[in-house]
Amino acid sequence: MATFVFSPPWFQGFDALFEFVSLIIAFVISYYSYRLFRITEQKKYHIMAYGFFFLFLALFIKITTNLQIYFEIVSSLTASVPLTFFIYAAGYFLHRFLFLLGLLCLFNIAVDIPDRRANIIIAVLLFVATFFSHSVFLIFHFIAALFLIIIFWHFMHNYQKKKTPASEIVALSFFLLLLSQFFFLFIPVTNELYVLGEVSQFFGFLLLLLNHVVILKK
Amino acid sequence: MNVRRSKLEIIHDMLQAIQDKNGKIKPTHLLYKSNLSHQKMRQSLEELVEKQMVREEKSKYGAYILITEQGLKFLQEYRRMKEFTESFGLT
Repeated sequence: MATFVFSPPWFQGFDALFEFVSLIIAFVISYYSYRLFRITEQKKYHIMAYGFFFLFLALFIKITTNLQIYFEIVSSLTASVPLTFFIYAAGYFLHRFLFLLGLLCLFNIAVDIPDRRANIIIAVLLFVATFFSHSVFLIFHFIAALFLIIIFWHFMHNYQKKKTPASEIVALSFFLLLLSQFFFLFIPVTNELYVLGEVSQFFGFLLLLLNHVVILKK
Repeated sequence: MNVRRSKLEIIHDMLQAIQDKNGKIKPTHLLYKSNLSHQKMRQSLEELVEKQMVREEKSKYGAYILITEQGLKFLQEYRRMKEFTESFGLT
């Protein structure tokens, strides 16, 4: 039997709220990156825009799937258990795949992969890992954590070079996003770690928003 | 090591040079400050005038180039873009 919901009952709904704010932030950063791409025509801004847009989509799908489960929307509309199961499974698969695609784009910023074919191979491997694995949940968070280690290392290195408050905020935000994945990995120990993971992820995105607001105020 | 500036950087450097001179500069000073050939500077200047980021003014003291509101907005937007780029290590 598949487990879809890891949130403790008292936290259900709050995770959707946190993720809603996070997806707005992801969209704002994606949009601004795209604007810079239109002005400069430089690929790195385009990749960044795609990265945060995939994260936005992933969070949107997770929220809608979670809310369907929390409020039993699909199961009340259809008497078919397999259909209900399929809708939930499809939702979570899309969330995981899109989230990893987003991280792959940000990974490209940290580690410049010039050959597009390499990125295609990685994307296909991500698809296989998230679709065919028996332990989809653990595999997803493990891969996300791997990507985020490299991404965080890049931003930490950037902060050590630049020593600006903005670069420090970005490094810290991705540290929190990395931390959230470690919390999620150990959910089988206790569901309360889901709460810590969601809160850590939320504060990670909030710091990105803070950075963006500070930049726009200049 | 010579690093070639992008078109955007050239526009920024020219506008910044004008702003540093309280928004008004002689063409010869701009040529010196922008570190461009005469032909390149003229081309860039024509583009700036076309985009309404600068305007040219002739007085009895000579010709001047003035930065416009549009030009000042560009400088502000460029600063934001630079900060965003540096914060994410996109340089």
